[in-house]
Amino acid sequence: MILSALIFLPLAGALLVGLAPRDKGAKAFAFGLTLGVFFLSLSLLKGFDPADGGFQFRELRDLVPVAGIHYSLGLDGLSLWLVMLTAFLTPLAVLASWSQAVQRPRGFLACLLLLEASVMGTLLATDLFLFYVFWELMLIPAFFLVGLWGSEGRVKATLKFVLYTMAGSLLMLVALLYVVSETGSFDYTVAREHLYPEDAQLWCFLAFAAAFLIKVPLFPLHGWLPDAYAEAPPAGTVFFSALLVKLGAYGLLRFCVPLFPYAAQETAPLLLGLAAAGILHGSLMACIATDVKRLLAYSSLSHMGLVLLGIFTFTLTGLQGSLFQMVSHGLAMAGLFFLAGWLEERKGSRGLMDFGGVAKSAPIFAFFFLWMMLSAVGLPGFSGFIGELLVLSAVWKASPLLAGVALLGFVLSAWYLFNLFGRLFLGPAKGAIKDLTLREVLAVLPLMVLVLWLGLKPNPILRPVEKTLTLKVLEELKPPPVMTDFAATHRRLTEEIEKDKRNRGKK
Amino acid sequence: MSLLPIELTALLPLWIVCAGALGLLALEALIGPRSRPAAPLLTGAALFLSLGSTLHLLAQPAMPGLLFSGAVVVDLYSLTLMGVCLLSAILACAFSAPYLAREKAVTGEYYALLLLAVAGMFTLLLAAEFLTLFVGLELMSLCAYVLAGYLRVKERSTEAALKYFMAGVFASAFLLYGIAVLYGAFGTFAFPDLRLLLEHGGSSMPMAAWGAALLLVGFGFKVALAPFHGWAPDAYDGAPAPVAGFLATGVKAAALGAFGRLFAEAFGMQGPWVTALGVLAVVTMTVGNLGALSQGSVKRMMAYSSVAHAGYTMVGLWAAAHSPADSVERALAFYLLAYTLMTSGAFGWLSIAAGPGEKDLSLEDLKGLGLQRPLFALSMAIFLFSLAGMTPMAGFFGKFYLFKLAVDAGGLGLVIVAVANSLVSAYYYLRVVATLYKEGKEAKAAAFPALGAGLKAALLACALGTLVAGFLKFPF
Repeated sequence: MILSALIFLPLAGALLVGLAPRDKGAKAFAFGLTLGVFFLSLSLLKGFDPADGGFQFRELRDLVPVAGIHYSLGLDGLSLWLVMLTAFLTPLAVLASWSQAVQRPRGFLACLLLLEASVMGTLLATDLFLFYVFWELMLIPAFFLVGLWGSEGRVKATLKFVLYTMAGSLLMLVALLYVVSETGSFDYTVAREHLYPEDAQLWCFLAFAAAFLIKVPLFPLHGWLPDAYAEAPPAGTVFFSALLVKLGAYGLLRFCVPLFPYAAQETAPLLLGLAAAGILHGSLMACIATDVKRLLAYSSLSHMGLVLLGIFTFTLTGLQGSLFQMVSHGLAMAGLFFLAGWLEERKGSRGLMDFGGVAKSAPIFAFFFLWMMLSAVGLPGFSGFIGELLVLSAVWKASPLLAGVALLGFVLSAWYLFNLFGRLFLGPAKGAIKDLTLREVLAVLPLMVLVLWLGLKPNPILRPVEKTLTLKVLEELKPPPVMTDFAATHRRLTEEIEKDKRNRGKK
Repeated sequence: MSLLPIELTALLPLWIVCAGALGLLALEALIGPRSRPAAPLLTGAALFLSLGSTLHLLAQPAMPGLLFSGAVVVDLYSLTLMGVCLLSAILACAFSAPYLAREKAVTGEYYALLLLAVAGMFTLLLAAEFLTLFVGLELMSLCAYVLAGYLRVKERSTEAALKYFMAGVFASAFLLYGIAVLYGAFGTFAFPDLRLLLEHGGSSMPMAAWGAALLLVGFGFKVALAPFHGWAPDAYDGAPAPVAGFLATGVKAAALGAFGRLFAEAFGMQGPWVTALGVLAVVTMTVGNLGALSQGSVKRMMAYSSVAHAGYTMVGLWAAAHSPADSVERALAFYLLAYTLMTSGAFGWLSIAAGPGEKDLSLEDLKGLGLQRPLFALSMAIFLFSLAGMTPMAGFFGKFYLFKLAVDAGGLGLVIVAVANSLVSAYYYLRVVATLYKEGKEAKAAAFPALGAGLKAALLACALGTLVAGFLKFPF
C-alpha cells in the first residue's frame, strides 16, 4: 500500500489543489502534502532489504483483465534512490517557488504534484503497460509547466520538448507491443526472463533506447534540452534536470540492458562514443554560453554523458557510479537551478553580462551557489567526486581514451563553472541584489547538507543497489551458456556435413 | 417480460427512438411552434430511455443473438456500439439546443431527424445481412444530409449538405453493386452464411474479391477513408458545429461499426481485401494527418483529424484476418467510444467558442482563451491530448488496443506508420493547446457569454469520460 500512497497522495493533492476555489492556503497544503510523501518514503528506507535483489513492497491487482494488464508495483535497488530523490526534491521545489510571483499558483502546484505522481509511477511500475502510462503522463504536466509558466520562448520550447519525447515514446510503444506479443504478458519479470531472437533484440533495443536516450539526452538527440531548461520556471527546470532526465538513464538500466543484453553489448561501443561526444559538446557549449540557465543546461548534458558512460561499461563499479552520480547530480543541479532561477527573478534577466559583484550585496547567495557548484565540479569531499571517481575508474579499465575525454570534460566543467561564478558574483557590482530569504535558505540548505554528507559517507547509497544491479543487470549480460554451446555445436556439425557432401561430390 | 415476444423486448432501444421521432413530428404538426421549447427535452428523454434499455440489455447474462429469421443480431458488439451512438446523439442534442437558440433556428424537425438518424444507426449496427444493413445505412444517411444543410440560409451549410449528399449517393450505389455481386456469387445476404461459403469459396473467389472491393469503396466513401474522403472536410466544416460533431462521431461510428462487423465476421480471413485494408489504413492516416497539419481553421483541422482517426481503426480491421473476431470487435468498439467522447466534446466546444453566427475560428482567435476561461479551455486541452493519444486519456487506450491487435497479427510496419502519424497529429493538436495559453487580446473575455447548465454538463461529461474511460470495466 505504501507504494500506491506515494503515487496517489500527490495525484489526489493535484486534483484538490487544481479544483480548489481559492489560492489561499494552496501552497501550504501542497508543501505539507509533499513533505508527508517524503516522510512516507523514509519508511521505505527502513523496510528495504539490501540483500534482496528482487522487487520489494510488491502490489498486484487487475487493471484491465481482458487484456491482461495489471496494476503491479515494486521497488528495488534501481528505483530506491530515485524514488527518495523525487520525494525529497518535490517539497523543496514547492518551497523554492513559494515567494515567487507565480501567476495562477493553484494550477502551477497541481502540475508539480501531478509531475511527482507520474515520476513515482514510472519508477514503481512493474507492468509494462502501467509503466508506459506513467511515462507518458509526465508529458502533460511538463507541457503545462513550461508552456504556461515559462519565460519568453516557452511555447516553442514546450512543443519541442513534448514532440521530441513523444517521438521516442511512440517508438518504444511499438517495441513494447512486440515484447508483449512475444511473451504474451505485460509483466516486467516475464519480459526480462524471455530470450528474444538476436535481430529482434537489436531493433527493440534501439526503439526502447530512443525513448530513454532522448530523455537523458544522448548527444545528437539533445535538441530540446537547452530551450526547455532555459524557458521553464525554476521549479520546472529542477524537475527536468534532477528527475526527468534521470528517468531516461533509469529506463536504460531497467529495460534496455536487461531485456536485450545481446543488443546492448553490440551497440555499447557506439553509445560510449556518443556519450563521450556529448560530454565534450556539452562542456564546450557551456564554455561559450552567455545565459546562466543555458550554461547550466549544457553542463547538465555533459554530466549526464558521464552517467551513460558508466552504464555502458557494464561493470558493477560503473553502474554503481552511474546511479550515485544520478543522485548526486540531481541534488547539485536542483540547488544550482533554484539559485539561478532566483537570480533571474531578481534581475529580470539571465544574461551573464548583466550580472557582476553579486557577492557584495548578497554574500549568502554567493556562498550557497559556490557550495552547490563545488559538488557539481566534483571537488573531493562532495558527492559529485564519488560518482565521477567510480565511473572514471570503470571507464579507465574499458578504454583509457574515453576516460581521457571524460577527464577533459571535468577540467572544462571546472573552468566554465568557476568562470560563471566569477562573472556572477565577483568583480565590480552591477546593481544590488536582495540576499536569500529564510524560506529560500531553507529550500537549499538540505541540499547543501546532503551533497556534503554523501560525499563523506557514500556507502549507504552504494550498498543497497549492489545486489539489484548484479542480479538484474550484470547477470543478464552473461551469455546463456547452453544456448551458445548448442549453437556452436550446430555450426560445427553443419560444417562437417557440408564438408562430407563436398568430399563425396569430388569422389 | 416473458409475455412479450423476444423480438419486441430485445429491440426496445430502437422502438423507443422511433416512437420519439414520430411523437416529435406529430407535436410539430399538431401544436406547432409552441411545442418547440420542449423538443430538446423530449429528445433527451427518448435518448436516455433508449440508453437505459440498451444498458439493461447489456447487463443480461445471455444475449438474444439472431432475430427476425437472421436479419438482425443483438449481441454485445451491437449493443455496445448502440450505446456509443446514443452517447453521440445525446451530446449532439445537448450542444444543439443552445446553438440553435443562438442561431435562431429552433424547430421540432431537427430533433425528429436526429432521432430518426439514431434509428438508422441502430438498424445498421444490428444488421446481420445486407438488406437490413442497406436500409439502416440509407435511413441514417438521409437524415444526416438534411441535418448537415440545416441552416438553409447559410451558403456553406447548403454547400456542405450538397457535397455530402452527392458523395453519399455515390457510395450507396457502390455498396448496392457490391451487394448484388456477392449475392450473385453466393446466393445469400446473410453474413454467417457468407463466411461459410467464403471459406470453401473456390471458384467464386474472384467474384467475392470484386464484391469486397465494391463494398470497400462504398464504405470508404461513407466513413471518409482516403482517397474517398474529398467531401468530408467541406461537409464537416460547413455543417453546424454540433451536427458536424454528430456526423464525425455517431454517423461515422455506426458505419465503421457495421463495416467492422462485416469484415471481422464475414470477410475475417485471408484474401485480397486484407491488403486493400492495410493500404487504405496507411493512406487514410497519412492523408488525414498531413491535411490537418496545414489547416488554418480549427474546425477544418478537426474534420481532417476525423479522417485520420478512421485510418487508425483500419489498422485494427487489417488484423481481423489473424485475430478472433471478438477481440477485433472489442478493440474497435472501445476505440469508437473513446473517439466519440473526445471528438463530440471538441466539436461541441468549437460550437460554443465560435460565438454567434459560428465564425470560422483560426488559431489566432483562440489566443489567450486559456488564461481567461481556464476550465473551459482545460476541457478542450483534455480532448486534444486524448486525440493525440496521450496517456491516461481514452484516446490512448483506444489506439493501444488497435495497435496491439496489429502487432500480434505481425503488422509491425503498419503500426510504425501509425505511430509516426500519431506523432504528426500530436504536433497539430498540441499547437492548438499551446495557443490557448498564449497571451492574447484581453478584450474578448466580455464577448464570451457564460455557459448554461446543459452545456457545462455536456462538456464535463465528455472531459471526465475521456479521462477515465480507459480504466472502466468494458462490457466485453
